[in-house]
Amino acid sequence: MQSENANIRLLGFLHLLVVVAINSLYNHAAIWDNQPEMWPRAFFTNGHVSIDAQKMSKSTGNFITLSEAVKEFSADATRFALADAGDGLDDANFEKKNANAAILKLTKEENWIQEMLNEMDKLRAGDYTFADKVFLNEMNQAIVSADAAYSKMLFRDALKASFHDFQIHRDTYRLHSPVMHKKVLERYFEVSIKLLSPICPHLCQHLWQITGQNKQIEFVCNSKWPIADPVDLSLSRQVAYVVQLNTLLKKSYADMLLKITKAQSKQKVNKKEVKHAVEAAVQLSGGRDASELIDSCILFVAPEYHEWQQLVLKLMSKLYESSKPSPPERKSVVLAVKAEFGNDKKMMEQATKFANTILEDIVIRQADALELALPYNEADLLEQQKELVLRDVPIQHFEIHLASQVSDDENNIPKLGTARKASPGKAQPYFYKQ
Amino acid sequence: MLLYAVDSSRSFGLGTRLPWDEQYVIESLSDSTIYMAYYTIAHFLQDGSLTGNPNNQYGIQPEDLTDDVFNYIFLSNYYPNPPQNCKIPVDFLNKLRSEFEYWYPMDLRVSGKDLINNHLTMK
Repeated sequence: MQSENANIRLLGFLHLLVVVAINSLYNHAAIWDNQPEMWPRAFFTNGHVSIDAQKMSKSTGNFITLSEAVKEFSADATRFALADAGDGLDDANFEKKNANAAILKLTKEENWIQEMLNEMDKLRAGDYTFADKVFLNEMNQAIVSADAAYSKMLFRDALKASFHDFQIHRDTYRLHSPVMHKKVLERYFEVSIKLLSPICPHLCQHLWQITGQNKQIEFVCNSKWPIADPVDLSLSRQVAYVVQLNTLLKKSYADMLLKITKAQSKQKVNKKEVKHAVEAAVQLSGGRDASELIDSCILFVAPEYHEWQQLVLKLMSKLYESSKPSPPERKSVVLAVKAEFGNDKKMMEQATKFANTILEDIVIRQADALELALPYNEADLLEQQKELVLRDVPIQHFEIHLASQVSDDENNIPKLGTARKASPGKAQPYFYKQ
Repeated sequence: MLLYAVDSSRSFGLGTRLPWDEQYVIESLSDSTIYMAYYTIAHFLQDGSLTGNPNNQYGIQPEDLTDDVFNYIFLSNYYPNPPQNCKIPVDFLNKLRSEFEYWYPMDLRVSGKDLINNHLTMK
């Protein structure tokens, strides 16, 4: 009912907008009847502006003129906070706090670029590392996102892509590249300055000059919008996977630690957060160092699904063809699985269970959840990125094993259980004490 | 008839009289859809003054601004030739016309959400 109302309201709004647009178009068409090129090209409507979440009014005195704002915060910081205030028909909220914070953020960025310019000769050249490629890829994504947001006049989203998200990616890059690649940094100067220049034109022109880009084109506003190389989705997925695995390891490590100490003690522990779990485990063990309990990790990787799993995925892919973008109906999946594995009850149970996890995964990863193999070599990726994968678990010995190579002799039973859970894009950690 | 249909005229209140039928006043909101055309030349006539500046750079006086002059500036398709008996030199008129033709049309007409309601409630 509520969404129906919202729809009616939306329709009402569109109708209103059309009335204004038509009114203006009628008048233009009446006067320049043989010159359609003189008619307005687009219409846009926005909400009111409030200040610090209060409606501007003379009686409350929370009124600020543009020139006052420019005097107090500078033109660029004012524009920054206005872009952050929000778009569309909702009222935009100009926060003085944000404008003040913008002054600091922009100054910090200017100082950082200046600092980097003094160290250009200490930077790296040659082949790109994984971190280089990831950051270059993020920049391409930022160009695409910022362009889409600016085109729709969604300045908050544009600022997010051009500045907030961009800074996070840059900081991540710095973390993983103590010595940065010269070309990557130069690309950062070009792209970040251009993307932010519509919102902060003065600062960006200054940065354009100190980075020497004014030697080709004097003004950043006259330069061409940066060209994005095709975004490498496989690379984006690899990064997301490594980050996701890092989180999984953190959690599994804490769980395992708790499991070991619980087995040795009868105390009850309330573990709400991973951090607390580790603390609780250390406490339970009588203050022993965690490394005395766990010091090793095997990561089981499965580059391929089992045959029966592949069969289920193929069945589901067919159903997904007609249901996408939403996942296929559970009922139809169960029927298809039953038709395929109906003779073997145990097999059917297993297949249905597997199909259910894939159904949940489709909601998150869409068609990727149905892939039979990953577009990259999982074991190689994890080996190369083990520093990041293991960043938050204090482990001395780390190995990556293929899940299929675990022998099923008695000593390996717990390992085997973990290994069996591994599937493409879902490596499983096994923690133990050597 | 069409003007009645879209409510863009009325017979009272503020606004411009309809040139061919002076009993009607152009409804002011309707007027406000097109007045931006004037902004493209306003800086020459007003020259920094809200009420107009007779000492503007071309020396254009209010009484020089006849309908013929505006027709020549804004409607080049219908009025290709400069008006006769006009005190403003043709060079100046051409400067005004090219200014209008450079800046118009609007790429984007931006309005506030409160103004949408005004347009709808007008009667």
